[in-house]
Amino acid sequence: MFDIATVLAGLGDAITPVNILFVVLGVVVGQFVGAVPGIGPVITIALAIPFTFALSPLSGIAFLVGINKGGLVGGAIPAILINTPGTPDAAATALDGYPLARKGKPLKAAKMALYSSVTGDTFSDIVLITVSPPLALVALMMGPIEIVCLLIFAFAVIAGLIGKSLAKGIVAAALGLLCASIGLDPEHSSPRFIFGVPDLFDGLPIASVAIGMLAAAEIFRRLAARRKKIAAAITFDPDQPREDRRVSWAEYWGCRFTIARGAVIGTLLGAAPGIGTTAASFMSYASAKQTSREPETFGKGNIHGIAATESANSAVMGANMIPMLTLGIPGSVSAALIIGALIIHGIQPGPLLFEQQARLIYGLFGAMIMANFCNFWIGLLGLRLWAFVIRAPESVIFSSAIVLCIVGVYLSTGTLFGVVVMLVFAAIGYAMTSFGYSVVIFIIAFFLGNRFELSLNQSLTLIDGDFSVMLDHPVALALLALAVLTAWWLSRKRSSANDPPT
Amino acid sequence: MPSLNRLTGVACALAGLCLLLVVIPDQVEAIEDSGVQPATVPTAVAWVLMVAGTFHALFPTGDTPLDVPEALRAGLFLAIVGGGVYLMSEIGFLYVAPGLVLAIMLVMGERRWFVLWTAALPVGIWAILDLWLNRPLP
Repeated sequence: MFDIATVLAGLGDAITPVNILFVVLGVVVGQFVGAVPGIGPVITIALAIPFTFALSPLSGIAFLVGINKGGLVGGAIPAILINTPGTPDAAATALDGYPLARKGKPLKAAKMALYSSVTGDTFSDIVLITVSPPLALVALMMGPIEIVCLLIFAFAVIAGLIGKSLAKGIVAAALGLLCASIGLDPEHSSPRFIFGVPDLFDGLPIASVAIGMLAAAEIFRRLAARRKKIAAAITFDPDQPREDRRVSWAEYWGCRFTIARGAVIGTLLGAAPGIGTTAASFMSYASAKQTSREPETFGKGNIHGIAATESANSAVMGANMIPMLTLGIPGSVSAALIIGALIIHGIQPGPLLFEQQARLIYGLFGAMIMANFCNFWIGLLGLRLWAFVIRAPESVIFSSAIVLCIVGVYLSTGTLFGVVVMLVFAAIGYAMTSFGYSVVIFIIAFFLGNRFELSLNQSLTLIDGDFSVMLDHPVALALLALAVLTAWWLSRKRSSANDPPT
Repeated sequence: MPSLNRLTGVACALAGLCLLLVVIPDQVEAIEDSGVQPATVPTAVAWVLMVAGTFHALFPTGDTPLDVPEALRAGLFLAIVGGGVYLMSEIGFLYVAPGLVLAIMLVMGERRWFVLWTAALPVGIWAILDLWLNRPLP
């Protein structure tokens, strides 16, 4: 336990002018790169780490944390305004954000995303600051068997997104799993579906597949749309009523349960390493839709859909730091990069960190809270800028966006092969959407496929044919029971929705 | 005549069959003395594709919002971008990307000269990444 003087000294360190400057700079850079499809906060953190060598450890880490948090807010902006998510975790935000923008309310959609993102992020930061050691112990109990059961539960919840055709949803998930299995198999490192292409040994680059299917496919659709004249990418009436440009307190308060549920889902999934923001945002979206009294309005511009996804994906950010700071296990790629930066600055994350570097850690917590505050105000200012940018003609927006996708994927993968994969998946994404197969289900299965297969293999090895071993894993059993209950509840809802009214 | 929606189910079922009979035996190795084979997940996926595809072919649900002229135009833009990426590998980003932006805008129907200046954007990207941040582009 630390004395209050250490906590206050750490928080005091965070609010020096220099540290505030680097947090603000990080958030500005993060929001900008998050809004550019393909670049995103992970590449930017990797690029920025060398710049932190000259800074104090707290300033350097605060800068990187600012980039990461800013990136989450920035990623939602193009998802809402032009239906091309800047980062994969913002894909779910586009489901309701873009339809709301098309209704002439882009600022309302973007502001709801900003408010719920900051709320979810602050919630997970508070959890990190107050209960990270016990939560880290719970996360440590998540072995392969629990992870498999957690993923089965996640799949059961996300099944709510399947829509009108169950068979098409299952096909989309199967194709996602198939693409995830390309490359070295996670158990034996034996190559699968390489077809003599050495670049495929590492599997399909996640950035290429995600940007190809989510951003590039939509850009090609918009480029190909028939038009009489080239208009602005999105139009809204400058004289529209004030309530269409803002989120009222009543609307925000009306979303409180959705935001809270998203924040809890994001925090829990973020504390378990490797699950990621994309699964959290879709899981939160699916649960918001399933519990809504108006599920038919989801996908048509319901602000609850935006609130659910943004609170969840932002809550993952703070929660990712729980296993990182307490156990030295990174919960995500960006957390792994921040661990690298901590080590470069002579700080070893792990169980002893809170004893040996308590002041620095509380300084970091202070910087995180400050970054949320900056995210809010810079986000509000930035929205005005993006609303101005988006008034540019479609020819400017989409031709620039495709070049930015190429640059982003090239920087992320390091080869033009990654860009070729992006174009292939843009074509696949376009075809799937045109034939009514869900790209969203495909992407979720692709993201979780490798993790699922690895954990399944490890679990089967641990169980070794004796399923009574499961009795020693109460968390796994609880998750399996929840998955079964969710599937049963979903099938009941589906059958009652299909029943003709009497 | 079977609907396009139904045909997509047939295509999925055939893809699953082809995966099971041809692709998996050819492209996935079997490991001796291993409980879980590398082919386990792909084989399960192939069966799922066959069963779900057949089910969809027999009882099609959902819709197919395919717009053929739009798809052909999308194919044209994809070919332009693909050609641009190929030329980038041969000549370099700095020389190809401005032409690529210009080509996309012209094919879209953009003719306003002040808008066509957007073609200069890749030069700015190249200057920031290649010159300033030392991250070479192709």
